[in-house]
Amino acid sequence: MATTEITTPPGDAKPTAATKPEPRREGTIVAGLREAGELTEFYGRAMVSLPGTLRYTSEILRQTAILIRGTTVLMFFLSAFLGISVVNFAFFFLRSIGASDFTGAATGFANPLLGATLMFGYVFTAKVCCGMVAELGAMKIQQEIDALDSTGVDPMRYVVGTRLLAVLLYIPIGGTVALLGATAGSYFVGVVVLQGVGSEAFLQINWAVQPLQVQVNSLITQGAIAMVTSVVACFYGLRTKGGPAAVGDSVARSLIANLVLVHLIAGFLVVFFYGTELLMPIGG
Amino acid sequence: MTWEGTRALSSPDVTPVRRPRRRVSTALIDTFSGSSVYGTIREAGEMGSLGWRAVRLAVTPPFPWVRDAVSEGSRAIRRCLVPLSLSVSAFMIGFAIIVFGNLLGSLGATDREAGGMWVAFSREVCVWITTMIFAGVAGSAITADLGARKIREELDALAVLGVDRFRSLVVPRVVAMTLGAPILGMLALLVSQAVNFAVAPGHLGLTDEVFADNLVLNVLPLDLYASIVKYLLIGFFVGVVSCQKGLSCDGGAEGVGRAVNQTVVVCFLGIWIINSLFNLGYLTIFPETAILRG
Repeated sequence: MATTEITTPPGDAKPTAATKPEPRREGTIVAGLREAGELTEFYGRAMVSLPGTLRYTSEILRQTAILIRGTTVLMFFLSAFLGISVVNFAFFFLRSIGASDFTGAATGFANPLLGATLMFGYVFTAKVCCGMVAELGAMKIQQEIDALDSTGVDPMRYVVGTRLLAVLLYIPIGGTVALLGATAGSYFVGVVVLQGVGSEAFLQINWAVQPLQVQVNSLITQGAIAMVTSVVACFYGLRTKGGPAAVGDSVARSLIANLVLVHLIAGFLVVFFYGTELLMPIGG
Repeated sequence: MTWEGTRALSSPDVTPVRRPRRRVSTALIDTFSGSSVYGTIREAGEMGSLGWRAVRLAVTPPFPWVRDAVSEGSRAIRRCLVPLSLSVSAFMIGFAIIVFGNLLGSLGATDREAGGMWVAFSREVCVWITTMIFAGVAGSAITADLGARKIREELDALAVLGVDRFRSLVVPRVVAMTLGAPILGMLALLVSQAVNFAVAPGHLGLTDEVFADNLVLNVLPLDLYASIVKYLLIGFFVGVVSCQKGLSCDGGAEGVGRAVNQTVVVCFLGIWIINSLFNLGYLTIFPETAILRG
């Protein structure tokens, strides 16, 4: 008995040190699947709770105001940087085939398709979703969610539902700001800095190649990104367990999922909208 | 600026204190640091001094942190690799091959797809996707880790034990982020070109030889060196920001979350500023790289 007592601790210590990565690696797949399942269930519950949320209209409007105030400036400037990137590529690419006058066509085509959409997703993920996870995680840790529950307020409605409806109200505003920002950045570099194309020609072609359908498609993509990522953010926020350090962890976790989701949704929907027809007044 | 619902919910019956008019016109500043102008400048200064100190410690001889740096860097790269491959592949297939390829098809220039996408991905797309995922995954993990240590007062314990926290915690992380970003970027470029080579010739109706010819014509060593320099700059920036935000976070559970949030926002902003300005300067100084060959 005594010998086993003595031999177990070193015997214990070695296998745990050696095999520690193995169960964790197995666990990630199973835990990932379980997380995906829980996320889907959460998504369903959030959607079901939305009709009952409408009674908290003032809270919805307050959350929308917070979103708009905190995100608009950042959205504009970051979209402008993506517009600069688009022009950096398009101008030099088109100049090499002797068509630099059509820089406006490239930006007018690429900005709603790619620039504004992706940058909306990035800014939304970084600024809004991380903020949501941090806030909801802190509320969960400080047992405010349980307090709401015990006072008869459904947290799925008051906490999650109001935020989702606020995001829904915010989408057109954020999408417009992103598109304007991307166009402004393209204009700044293409016309003012590189001086490759005149102001009139740039703006005219830029808006001419951009039918309303493209802008609506861009808005739909942004809406899909925003709704999915904000539900993921609420899910990870309410899933936070443990001490104060856990909040930071769940912010980081939600960010990984959201950044991948942004690219997947944007890539899938752009193929869905433009895979068969480009909606552009060129070619045959 | 974070969401204000927490404070409102945590004290619903406390009458709101009348605030001074400081919060009227700080919207622009709030997006950067969450407080006043002074706070922003001070944070920037702290980041600068932390970065300078990390560089100085990284080049002075006793190197006890090399092992830590290697393990941190490899962990960051391993954690980023799967999300990064997924994102780059989705972007490549959706935007580059199908939509841009169809556009080139209606212009009658599908053979330019390989070179155009090599230039676009090595210069722009891979850079931003890689560094944003790097900042989002590895940078936020560093901030969460250091912030948790700060909250649990482990940093003070280290100081009591006489361990220099700069040498033991900050320098390995900054070095790992600085050197990890270019490696990850080159891996992302490899993934993107592999996906392109696997999908594009079939979709656009090109033979593999035409595709490969156009690709090889456009691979410039100078482009790759420049993008490595850009990755180094951005990796250093991400490392410094995430370490500074982690070390300076306070305020309990909410503080760590807010610090991670701010890290991500500041890193994204910095990534785009560095990327855009670097590319403008690079294309202006070396105009011959801007010509698309083939």
